[in-house]
Amino acid sequence: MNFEPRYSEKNVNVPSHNQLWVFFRLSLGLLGIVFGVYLVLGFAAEKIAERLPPKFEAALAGGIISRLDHDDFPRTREYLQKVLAALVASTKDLPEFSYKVSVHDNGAVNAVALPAGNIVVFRGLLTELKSENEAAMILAHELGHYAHRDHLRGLGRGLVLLSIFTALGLSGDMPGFIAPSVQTFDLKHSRDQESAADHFAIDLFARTYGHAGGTLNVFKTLDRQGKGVKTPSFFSTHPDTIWRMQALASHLKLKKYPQGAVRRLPGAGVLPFPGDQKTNKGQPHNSE
Amino acid sequence: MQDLIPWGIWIALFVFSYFFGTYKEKVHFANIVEREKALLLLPASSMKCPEDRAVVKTELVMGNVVIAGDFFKQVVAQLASLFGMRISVAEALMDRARREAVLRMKEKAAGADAILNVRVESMKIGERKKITGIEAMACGTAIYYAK
Repeated sequence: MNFEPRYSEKNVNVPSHNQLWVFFRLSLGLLGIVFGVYLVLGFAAEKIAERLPPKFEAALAGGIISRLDHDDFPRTREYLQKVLAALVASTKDLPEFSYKVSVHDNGAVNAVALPAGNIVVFRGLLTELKSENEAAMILAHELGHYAHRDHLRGLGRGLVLLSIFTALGLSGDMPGFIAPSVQTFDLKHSRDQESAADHFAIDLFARTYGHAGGTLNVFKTLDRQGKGVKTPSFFSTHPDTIWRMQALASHLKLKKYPQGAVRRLPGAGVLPFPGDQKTNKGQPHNSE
Repeated sequence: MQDLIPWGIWIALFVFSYFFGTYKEKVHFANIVEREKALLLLPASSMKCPEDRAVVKTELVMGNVVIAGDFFKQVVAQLASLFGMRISVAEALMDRARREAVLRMKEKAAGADAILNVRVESMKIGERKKITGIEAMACGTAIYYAK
């Protein structure tokens, strides 16, 4: 048998197509599947959340609340609790919870609505507030989330998203570009919820105080505070503050709420109250 | 804004590894073709029997290579594994590794008349679905016939 040297330039083992095209094709396919599953399961989670009985929600919330149930500024909390009680008393649209507010010594300019009527306000937000009207607007906004069951919807959707990625085994470095895409999609949903909570807040405020004076000031304060770190509105969970103020201003015109006086904060006019003593973290606070 | 930083790093790494990896692959293939042509007269065969000629010397020769899979390839391989598709990025990587291993084996057998009983082995380096690298090893028996 003779050996005849011959060289073939053709390589059948290496694909000739562009690998970038393969990447785009696979990514689009995966995103399509993830969005589809997310939409279907997210919708199901929302529907379940809407029908969750308050008693069941309170039982579920036990674990989450026990960790956050501490009170860093008791006198400030007492004052906010009074404002909250007045707001809750003037509406029948809220689920039947024992609504409580607690103040956390944290610099975040935020407040959150936790399950079963537990509102947490952070010190960072309180220090920005200039009047009782602003404090009441913040609390009324959080009550709006309870009225629309947003707090549970968020939990349900988050759980669905986590389940999808765990099922795909994509908890490593690869989904870095996919996970934020899905979350960004969800932010639109979140912004709609925030707008609805804003409208609920202003209606509730007007019902409680008999006017809507000073309600927009809280957004001016937040806008001033947020000037340093501007996030594109598409990536933000809350709508753009200017847009929020415009939407509420037209809502005010439509409802023709009278403009009343702005109530000063008690004492030195700042929150948390100066000299307000902290209790040890982890201690349960006394509910009113 | 801080949320965008990991995105930026990921995209930059992905784009860089795509262009750099593609360039390196192209250069390596060109080099392989050139060396294969130069060593064309040294046959490497899986046959076990030498020609019916006097053999003066035999020798075990082997060539070994490890080629890394870049970030782009790892991402595409993970995506393809979800759909059960061909991992075409790894096909090119495997081809390079095997041919390079055979070439190194041939270079090791410089002066031989043939390499018989050639075997090529390869394995993936990397945990779970990650293709950190591909290792390929070629070995055979170099035959030196009497002149």
